[in-house]
This record gives sequence, C-alpha cells and structure tokens, in this order.
Amino acid sequence: MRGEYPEEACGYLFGPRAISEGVARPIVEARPAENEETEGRDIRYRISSAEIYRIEAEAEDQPIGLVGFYHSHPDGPGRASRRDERLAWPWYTYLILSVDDGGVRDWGAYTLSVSRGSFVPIDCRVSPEGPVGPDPGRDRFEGPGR
Amino acid sequence: MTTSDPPAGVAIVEIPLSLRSLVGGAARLEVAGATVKEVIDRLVAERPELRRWLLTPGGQIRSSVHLFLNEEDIRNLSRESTPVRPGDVLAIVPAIAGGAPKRRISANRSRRARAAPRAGLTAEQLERYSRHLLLPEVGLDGQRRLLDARVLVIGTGGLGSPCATYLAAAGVGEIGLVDFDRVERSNLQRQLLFSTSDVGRPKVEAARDRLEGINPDVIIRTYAVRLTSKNARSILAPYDVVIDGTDNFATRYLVNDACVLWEKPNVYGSIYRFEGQVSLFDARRGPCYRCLYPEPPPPDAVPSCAEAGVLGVLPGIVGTLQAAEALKVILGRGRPLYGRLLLFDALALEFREFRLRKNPNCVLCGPRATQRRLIDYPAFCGETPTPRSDEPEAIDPVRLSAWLRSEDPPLLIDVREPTEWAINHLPGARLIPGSRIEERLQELAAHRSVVLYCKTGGRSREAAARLQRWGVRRVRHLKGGIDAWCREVDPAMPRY
Repeated sequence: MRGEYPEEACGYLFGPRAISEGVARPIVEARPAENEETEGRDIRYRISSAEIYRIEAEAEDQPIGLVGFYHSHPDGPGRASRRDERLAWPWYTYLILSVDDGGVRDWGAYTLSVSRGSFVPIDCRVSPEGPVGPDPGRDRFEGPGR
Repeated sequence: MTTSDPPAGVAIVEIPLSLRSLVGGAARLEVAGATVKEVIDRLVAERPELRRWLLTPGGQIRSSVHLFLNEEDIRNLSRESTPVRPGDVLAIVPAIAGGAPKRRISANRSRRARAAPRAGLTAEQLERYSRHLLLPEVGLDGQRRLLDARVLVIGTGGLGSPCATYLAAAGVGEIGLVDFDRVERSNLQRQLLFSTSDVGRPKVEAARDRLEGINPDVIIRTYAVRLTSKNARSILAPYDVVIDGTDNFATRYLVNDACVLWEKPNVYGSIYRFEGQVSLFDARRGPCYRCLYPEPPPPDAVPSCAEAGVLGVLPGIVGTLQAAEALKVILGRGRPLYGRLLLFDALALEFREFRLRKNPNCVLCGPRATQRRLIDYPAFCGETPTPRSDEPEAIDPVRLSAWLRSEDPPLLIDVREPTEWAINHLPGARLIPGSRIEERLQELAAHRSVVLYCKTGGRSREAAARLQRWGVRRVRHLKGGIDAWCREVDPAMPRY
C-alpha cells in the first residue's frame, strides 16, 4: 500500500464464497493487483479482467474465493468516491483505504445495493487475530456478507 | 441449467458471482444466439433483471462488462460481432475500476505530494473544463466544487431539459432527474434532450443517455415516479440544490414546501406562452414561493403549456437561467436571485425585476409558521375537488362518439382558438372560442344538449361551468378533450 503511494494501490479480497445474507463476511486474504490505469493513476485504478477471470475460474469449486476488492485513496478520504460507486458491481465487498506517506489512516467498506443501485456502507473491523498495521493487506477484515 | 451437452445452436453463458443472486444462483445459463451480441441480447430478454448490469439504456454492451469467449477476450476477436458456435462458453467478467474523489481532503499532505503538486483533475478533465478553469470566479477550486455537487432536477421537460444539459456539461458531479412521463412528439419542439427516436421512451432514461454522452464524469440518477408527499423527502435528501422545472401547481407547492422543510435552495422557473419567471427561494435567506403566492390559483384558471401553448425557445431561456443560478449557488459566487423575481417577456424582449420580501404571515417559513409537514397537494390545489353540484358533467370520447351517431345528437362546440381548430376538429362541431361563448348564449340555450370540448379538457370544463351559471342546462364537456378523442376514437386525426 505504501509502496504504491502516491499512486493508487488495488487488489483482491478473498473469503468464504458461500456466505448468507446479513452474516459477517470474513476476509482471509488480501492480494495485491496491478493497477492497469495508464493515466491519472493517483486517482484512478483498474484491475485486469483477464486476471479476475483466471482467479474466478480457478476458485470455481473452492470454498474460499474472490469476494471483493480493495483500493487506496492516496491523500484522499477512506470512503467511496462517486466513481467507485458508479462502477461497482453487486455482491462484492469494496474496501477503500485512505493512505498518506505515513500509512493507512482510515478505511470504509461498502457493498452495492441492487434495489437502490447505490453503495451501502458495511461494518468493517479488524479481527482480534490480526493487529492493525500499516499494511492492511496482512490483516483480516470483516464485514457483513451483503 | 447446468449442462455438459448443450442443444445445437445454444451457447453456455457463465454468470459472474456478482450477478448470480439475480438469476437464482445459476452459475451457467444456456442461451441461443449466432454472435456474442445476440447471445447477450437474448440473455437479457430472458433475464430482464440482468439488463441494467450488462447493457446501457441504449442497448449497447456496457464498457464495464468484459466478455471472454472460450477463454479469449472478445476484444481480441471480432468484439461483439464475434460468431458463437453451439457449445461455446461465453464468460461475463465484471470490469473492476474506481478511484479517489477529485478533491484532496487530507490536511496532512506529504512532502512528497507537495513536491509534485497535482491539480486534482485528470488530464481529460483539465481539458474539458479549461474554459471554467480560466475564470478566476471558478478556477480549480470552483470546478472541484461543481464536481462534488449534487443537483436534483424535478421535471425533465421544457425547463429541465436545458437546465440539466448545462449542469451536466459544467461537470456537476451528480444530477438527479425526476419525471414519470414518456417522450411525446409534441415535446420535441422545445425539449432538446430528446430526439425523434426517443418518442415513447421514459423521459428520464432518454435524458440519462443524452447527459452521459455529454459528460461521462457525471452520475445521473433517475426517478421515473411522480413526486409526492410520501417520497419527496427520500428523493430530495441527498441533493444540495433543487431545480423546480414542474408544470403544475400541486408539484410546485410540494417542491417549495419540501425545500423549506429540509433547507434546500429551490431554483424556481415557470413559463406561460411568451413569458417566463425565474427566482431563487431559500427560506434561510429570503422568501419562499408561498411568500409570493400563499394560495394556488383556482384549478384551470392558469392553463398548462399543453393547453395554452408556449414559444419553444422560452423554456430554453428560462431553464438556462435556472442552471446559471444553480451554478452560482454551488460556486458561492455572484449575486444569486434570492429575494428577486425576474420576469422575461420574449415578445417585447424585456427583462423586469421585482424585489420579493419574506411574508411575515407565511404559514411555512414565517415566524408563526403553522405548517410543519407536507400536505395533500392535489387537494390543496383543487385538482381533486369534492364533487360539487355545479360541476359540469363530463362525457368520455367513446360515449360521445356513439351519441353523435344517434338520432338525437348534441350540439358540439369547440371552445379552442381558431389556430387550433385549423389543425384538427371534430366532425359537425362549431367553433366558439371560450372567451366569446357568452355572446352566443341564446343559440346554445336553444339546443336540447350541448357538449363542449377543448384540447385536453380544462378549458371546456371551465366554459361549461360558466354556461351553467348563465342558466344553460344540459351542458356537458368532453373528458380529456380532443387529445383523448384522438387516442380512443380516431387515431388517424392529426395531433398537436
């Protein structure tokens, strides 16, 4: 996360895929992805669809799989931007982290409401097993499944 | 739905996890089609709940949808016209992207960030908004304010069309559109958001397509509903500024009252034939619409554009003035129209301005305000009156058509203007414009039954009530006017 600063960092969130409505969705792994944006990388990110396709296909019959995405807002707020919301897909958890050159300052997690077509904030906390550190990629984040 | 041996001519579409809950959890669906586009079109026809995620309102595959045919990205093949053979696997993959808001909020900027100052706008945005950036009154900070602003446009007709167009072009970050109507051919004379090919489409959908085309930076939210006392709060809540582009008094009072109760600036505009009005109401800074007009006029006293006509360019001027006021409020620049009512006369080409004062007796924003919530506006405006004994009887077009063919038909009077008569009129009718009907009382009273009609029913009801007061009995009027006749009896008749 700090390595990419002042550009945006982004990546995948993995967790149990079969989570029922309203149940906390544990995130067991965060894996960095390449930011494919070529312009405005300090305020934009894009993850390769081919890579997402590959990861989804590999995890097809596995209990743990891709359940969401994270990205950073360098010197920006730890909440979703309108662009984040506009480009979001249902079901996934979106974790957004505010970072500066000192590390992660704040974060927020969201999921897209299909009925409202807008982001709904979800409770997000670091579980006791993982300490809060400057690199949340190594921590466990939890939020409701939907 | 899952199969390893699909029927001939049928491809297997892999549904991403993200969308599976919309299709009952199915991971794969069999869909017929000769090309990628055909398969997707067939898929959304069979599963309409997928449509908004896969296709634009115009029916194109969304740029946020990536498709892989037998594991090959279709962008490397023939894109959406790539042929699909039976048994091929077409995978839908969501494109994942996003980014930080343009405004940097961290007060604790790093030295590294300061060393390489960034405008906070992308290269594309710097180019798009360069004419704003050149203005000291807007500049980078102002443009960021616009990009962060949310404006709700109520009504996407004559006023809402130009207003929303300029707001989108200016980079207002989020625009909400409220309108439950569909595009009609008669709208095209002044509502420039719509094209001939949009006739019949919901207005908010056609408007969204057009506005997104003008500026992809802007988020368009659509509300294809009638604004009511029940939904007003939730629709208005997220917005910073409200544009009143309504065409009826019930909604106009509702918009005003909601803006006063929830403290939103209300950019008011209205039009009548060749004349327009513009003002900016904000009860925290000055009067509200009710200070100006405490009570609505009697129903039918002020005809709508559909009844009275309007010069096409007039709403363009008034709606554009509303957009200018909204931008000034967002930017906090200039001298907004608080407490001033601007009147525009297109025939004389005159602008006049009146100073408005807060009404100390205003029930909504005065010091002794008594109204603390929204009320029943159609009733307040007399649009749903309790039946009165002097209410003229209405007759629907189908019954009138049968009556006219009977042996004892009524005398049929067209109360519209000669210009309207020249476009269309009912066979056997006589033209007596409503304003001159009293001059022909004797002639009318001599008939056993009289039926009046106008364009949509408002003027004929009012004229029928006047005739009744003069003692003419057995006066009816055509419900819905000649417009309803065209729809229900004679679709071949020209309309306007």
